Order: sequence, then C-alpha cells, then structure tokens
Amino acid sequence: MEDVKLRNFHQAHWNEPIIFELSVPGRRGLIPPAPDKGIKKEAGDAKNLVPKGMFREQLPALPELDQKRVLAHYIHLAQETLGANLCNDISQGTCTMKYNPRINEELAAHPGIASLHQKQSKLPYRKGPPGCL
Amino acid sequence: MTGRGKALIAASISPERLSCIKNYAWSATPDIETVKYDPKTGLLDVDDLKSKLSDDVCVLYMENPNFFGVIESQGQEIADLLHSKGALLSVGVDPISLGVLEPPAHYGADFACGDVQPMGIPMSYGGGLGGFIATPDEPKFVAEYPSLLFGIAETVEEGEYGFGEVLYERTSYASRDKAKDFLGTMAQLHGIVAGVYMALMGPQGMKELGEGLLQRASYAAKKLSSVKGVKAPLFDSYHFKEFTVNFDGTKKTVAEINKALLDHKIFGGEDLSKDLHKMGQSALFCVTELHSKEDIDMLADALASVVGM
Repeated sequence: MEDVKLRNFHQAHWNEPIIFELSVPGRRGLIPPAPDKGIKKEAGDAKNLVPKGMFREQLPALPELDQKRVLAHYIHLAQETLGANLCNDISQGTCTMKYNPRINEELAAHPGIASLHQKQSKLPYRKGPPGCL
Repeated sequence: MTGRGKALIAASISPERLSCIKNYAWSATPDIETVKYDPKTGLLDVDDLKSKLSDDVCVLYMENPNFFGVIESQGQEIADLLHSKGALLSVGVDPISLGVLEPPAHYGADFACGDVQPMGIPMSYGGGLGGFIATPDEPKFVAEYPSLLFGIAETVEEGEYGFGEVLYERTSYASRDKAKDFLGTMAQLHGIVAGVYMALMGPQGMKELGEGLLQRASYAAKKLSSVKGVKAPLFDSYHFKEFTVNFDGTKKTVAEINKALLDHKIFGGEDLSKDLHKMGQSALFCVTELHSKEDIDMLADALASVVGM
C-alpha cells in the first residue's frame, strides 16, 4: 500500500478577538465629511440645534479602529464561513442554505438599482448618478 | 410581558410603519390606539397620552426623531408616566442620530428599535433594510425577541469565544405555532455592513456625522424658508435630518412642485398632503452628509423658479 498523505482540509481558524478588544483609543477609521463653512456659520454650534437634555454627553461605546484593522478583522471572519459567502452556517434556517446565483448580487449592487429611492417612479437620466436631494 | 392587550402608538410615526404595526401586532395587542401630537411642535401630546393611558395598556411606541424629523424631548417624562402605570416604552430611533442624540436607554425606554439602512446600506429601491432591537440584557426581555438570536459565550479553551443560538425554544423551529418569531435572514448581511460602518466611524465619527447633519438640516430649512411662500420647518421644534416644508403660501400643490423639480433633476420631498390632511400642501425633505452647500442652494433656487416667485 502506498503512503497515503491526509489532506489538510480544515478552513482557517482564527482565534479572532471581539472587535471591541481590538479598540485603541483615538484611532479613527473614517472621517465623515464636514459641512461646508457656509453651512456651519449659518447653523451655528450643533449643541444649540438640539432640545435641552437631548445632546449626547457620553459618546457611544463603539470600538476605535483604523481601516486596516477593521479590514483584517472582517477578512479573518470571512475565512471561517466554510466556503460560503452569502449565508452563515450558524443557524439552522432554511432560506439561506440555498445557493444564490452570483448574477443576483451583481444586479442588486448595480448603482442603477442600489441608489434608487423607493418613491422614485421613473428611472432618472442615464449618465451619472441620479440627482436626488 | 405585561399580559395586557392594548398598545398606544404615537401618531407622529410614518403612516406606512403604523400600517405594518397594525398588521403584525393584531395577535399580541388587538387593541391599538394612536396618541396625538401637538400640531404646533410635532412633539407627542403628553396630556393626550395621560388620558389614554389606562390599566390595560402595555406599551407606547414612539419615534425619536419622529416621522417629521422632530427631536422628541419629553422622553423621560413619558417613560416615567408609562412606568407608573406598569406599561413599557418602546422608541424607534434613527441609528445615525445616536452619535449626537441621547439614546432611548438614557431616558427610560425599555425597548429601542430601528433600521440600520443609514449605516452604509444603499437604498436599493426600498430593499436596503435591516431592523434592530435593543433591550436590557434581562431574560424577561430576551424571551420576547421575535427572531433567531445568536449569543456569545466562553468555551472550555481559555480565551476562546463560541457563538450559538440563544433561547432557541422561542423560535418556530422549536415551538411551532406558539413561537415568538417570524424571521428572515436577508437583513443579516446588511447587519454586517452596518457593523463595519460603525467600526470605521467609531464614537467620534458618529458624533461628527450627527453634528454635521443637524447643521445641514438647519441651514437647509432656513434657506428654503427664504423662498417666498415656503415655510420650513412647519413645526416649531428641533429637527434632526428631516423636516417638513409647507407650500400653502405658493398656491401650488406638492405634486405640481415635485413634477417641476424633476426638470431641475431634483427628486422632491415626500408628499404629506394626502396621508396627513391637516398639514396642507406639505412635503418631507431630508438632508444628509451627501449634500453640499451647493446642492442645498440649488434646491432653493430651483424651488424659487418652480413656485414662480
């Protein structure tokens, strides 16, 4: 009998921490676009635009990460899905256990559909993004 | 949870949501009554709530900001009132407002819920949705969750986490017709997107985003009010990113204005004149961080030419 070499068939196994454990105070991932100077000048301090007692004093308990760390975290998790990318095997559900053709994902993600507001009754002009306000 | 069969719902929530709630809640709370809002401020009418708060009421559902974009400031008062009668408070929130507005838990709410769409998910013609629920981490609340629930626990290996089902008996897989659920997994992928969004924004990003939205909406309302015949906002209140715009002074209907705005390549505000008659020819406009000063000024100019003033 020939030497049989067993294949290493297990998927990636990351002992990935919870994202909160990766948090480093002060790190930023995305900086949201600030309003133009003209808007800030006209509107004034945001604190005055909120009823008394409703301005959040204590910031939400979200993790503070840079983009690279967020990317690495989610890629690690994505490597532990037993090869599927549109369902998670954690549940015993039935609708997600099926194979979803990739063409559906391309159609759903197409900007012509993805950027539509549900109340738009007709498709906007062809070139460029819809001028929604 | 309370064993009572009546639910109160604020009239200032989206009419479509109200219709959905009535659709789904009929078995748990067959008796649903709406609570009025103050026509001047858009805030919940606490006196009306008091008059309707009988001993068979189990919950009040309201939204903050509400459908008109108004920021509700009476949260604590409403929560105390409900709790004194043994009822609960459920608040629907816009998650991107929570970087700058106090969350419902801070003013006594028992449930917070909403949709994660604003957190990085494209509108997708109405399909970009993902609902969330938040409650205190107590068994009596968690036992009522209407969905598959995944929890985290330590394993026998030190430092390792395991994930698994929580209270599986709640679901219809276990309890069949006695289950709490109706569930779908489409929203899970959107939940992941929202998670990535929140991780990238962090607490500081959410605060800056929220502040920017408040400022843009305030600027937009003022700018639109400068157009003759236009009043924005309709309610004398603080708004988050949405606000009502009234066109009665222009003698034109929202439908006419929106049609004309399309020629300026602008998709106008949601027409409120049909569902909510008492508001006259009003529309709901929304301004986000995707809109620059030029965009808002362009809207004002386009409106000015459309109303012919």
